[in-house]
Amino acid sequence: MRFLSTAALCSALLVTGAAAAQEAPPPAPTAAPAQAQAAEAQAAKSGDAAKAAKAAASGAVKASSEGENERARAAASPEVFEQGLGDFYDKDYADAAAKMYDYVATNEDTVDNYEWAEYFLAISLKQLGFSHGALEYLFNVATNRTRPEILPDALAAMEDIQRGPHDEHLLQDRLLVDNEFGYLPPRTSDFVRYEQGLGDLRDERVVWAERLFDKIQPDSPYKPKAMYAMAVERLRGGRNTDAVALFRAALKHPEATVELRNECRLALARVLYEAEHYDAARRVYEHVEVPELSTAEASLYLEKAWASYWLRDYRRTVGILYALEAPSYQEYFSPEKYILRALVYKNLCHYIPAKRALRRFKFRYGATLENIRERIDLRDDEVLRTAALSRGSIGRLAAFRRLLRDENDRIDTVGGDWVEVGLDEQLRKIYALKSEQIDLQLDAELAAATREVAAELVDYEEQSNLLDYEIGLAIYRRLKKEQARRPTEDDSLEIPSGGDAVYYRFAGEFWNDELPDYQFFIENRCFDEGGED
Amino acid sequence: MIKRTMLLLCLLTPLSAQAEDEYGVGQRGEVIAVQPRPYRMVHEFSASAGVLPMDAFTKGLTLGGSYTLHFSDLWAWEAISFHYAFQLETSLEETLSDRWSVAPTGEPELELLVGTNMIFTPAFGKMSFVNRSILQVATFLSFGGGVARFSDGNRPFISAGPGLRLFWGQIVSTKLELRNIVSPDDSDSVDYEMHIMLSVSFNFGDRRATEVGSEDVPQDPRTGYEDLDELYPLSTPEAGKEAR
Repeated sequence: MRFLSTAALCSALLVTGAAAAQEAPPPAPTAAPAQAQAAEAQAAKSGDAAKAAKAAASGAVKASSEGENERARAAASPEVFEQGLGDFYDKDYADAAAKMYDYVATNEDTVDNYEWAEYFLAISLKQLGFSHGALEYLFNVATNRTRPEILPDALAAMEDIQRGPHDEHLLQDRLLVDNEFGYLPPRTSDFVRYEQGLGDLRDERVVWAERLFDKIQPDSPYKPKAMYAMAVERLRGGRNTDAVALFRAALKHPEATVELRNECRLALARVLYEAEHYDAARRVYEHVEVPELSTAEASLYLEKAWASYWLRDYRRTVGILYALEAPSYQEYFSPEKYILRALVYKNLCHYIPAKRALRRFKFRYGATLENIRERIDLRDDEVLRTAALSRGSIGRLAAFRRLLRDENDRIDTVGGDWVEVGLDEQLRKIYALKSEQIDLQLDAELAAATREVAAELVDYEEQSNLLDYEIGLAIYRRLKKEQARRPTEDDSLEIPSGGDAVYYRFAGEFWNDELPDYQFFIENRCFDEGGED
Repeated sequence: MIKRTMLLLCLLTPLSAQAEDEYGVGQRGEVIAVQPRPYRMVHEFSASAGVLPMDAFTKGLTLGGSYTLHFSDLWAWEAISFHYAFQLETSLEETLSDRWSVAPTGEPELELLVGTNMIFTPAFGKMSFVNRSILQVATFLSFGGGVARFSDGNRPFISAGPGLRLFWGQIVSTKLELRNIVSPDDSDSVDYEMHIMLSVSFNFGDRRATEVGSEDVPQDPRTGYEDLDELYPLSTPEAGKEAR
């Protein structure tokens, strides 16, 4: 029922740094003119994110970097910059940000130390947890490059920001991929080459990407990342040996991070699964570490369940599926777990529970399937919406939207000099504009993403109906005594009173530490009935 | 008769339908978390402090130790235990003397306990500690006997009682035990003492006496990557560096 086709495998393996082909419009340091926003909104509503991005870009060009109101104030003197610098080195980042902003907002960009003020403003904001605000100002520093000596530090700060949710379009697409930076320190250069290589891979310029990846230093942490990216590319191209070799090389690389190692293990387990080496796949899956109680863990459980199913280890299969019922995984979209459970019951000749499992699928997703048939706007269906928002690029976009909301909410907690110089108002404008853009982009991308999820759900419904029919046939299948198999040791339901294992019977309470260890003890009725093993 | 049977069946049907829980598991099948036992007791040495609270005139404070040999996760033998008791007089005797001018008859005082016990540990489990961490606990029953030295001589005794063990790790655990001690009196009756103990135990070894001679189950050395070598022989990490 669940086959990881190579294409699906590739898409599942795409590195987190990979941005969507159609991304959000770029941000403007201040609010874009109303007509630009209107055009952008129009474009995004019509579902054309590219048009939306273009409209926003034109708005950004028209927007001045600082508002007219700020210019009306007296220009901050160089002493303000010096005081800001003092505050910065005293780690008083709130005051430093206020003074640097005052200097930037009330002076022309030709004034001395203007770029440095922008840089220190950005770093202060970053230290205070306003990563998007920081990114906007770092972007200015990196694109203007009137003071090239700041560029490596600005890029290093951006490298740090890009580890969390961030504006991928602004950082990757508009800055890193589209620019040549000249000489950079080796570490920063590796970061830039890696991001540029990823951009080339996304646009299918594989040779260019290889060339950039080759230039990354062998002992750089970006080397194994580049290997991983190339491995995914090789897998997509059907060159499995090369892909596996690269995954293994990345796994062994001394600079590979824990996350990257896990990505590599997951990829190798999936390759083994695809090759129907389920036992080996399951062993490799066991070495994958994902954040506890995360969607990634739920996904890993489901893959382990399928590997166990093909190994006919039904006890583990249903045990894992049972773990997926834990409240922490409630939002994880996994209609196939009902089908898998029904398959196990069917294979154990428990036909009524098998049918019940399928009924539970209909009970869980009946309302959503009804919505799909009634052709409502799929974005309005909570199940489809939640599932879509937890996936790939749109998932990252949703995470970035949450970050914007959190950071925007924190602006009011600073107060003090920020209010006096108008930094709070400026940040609110930046966050409001970006939030609006991301909302529009999310809306546009959500339409396609929910359609994709809906198609999957309908497919699962078909499989469920087919399985229901097969179970109906199996109930009345003629018994053949010669087909009966003998019980094996694995079929034993006996629980020892002691021994090296402890058996905790499930009593309706999910303990997080037990989730990976659930087993389902059930009699195999096929012995009596002579059903097929 | 048939009608009654039918009625009974009709009444039972909804019950059997409800037997399946909300997760789709019920009478057909059972979900059990099978986890490796976190701690394995073998040679246990304990140091304990306790109290003998039953005598109204004197309260005994005990200090002692024991060695326990664990045969399995269920059964263990506390081969030897000894507890020395320090008697502390309460103010009762003085109160009786002052207020009512009466004096108690001289009751013998417990001075030393030397015994041996069988330990049965039927329950092992987990407790959630302020929703932050999991504590591993075991409850056990002990029963045995030995010799007790009273102030008027030695006597045999039998003892039994429950206990609770809290594991801090493979080596260290804490035990809280209650032992009911019964010993024959000179006057054809029995003396009863309650001994409450708090112990710190240190566990050593990983192979039990009952397992000596048995072969270790060989660990499966396969990691899954062997299949990659078989499927893609040129995919070793060395080859990966050259992969294009």
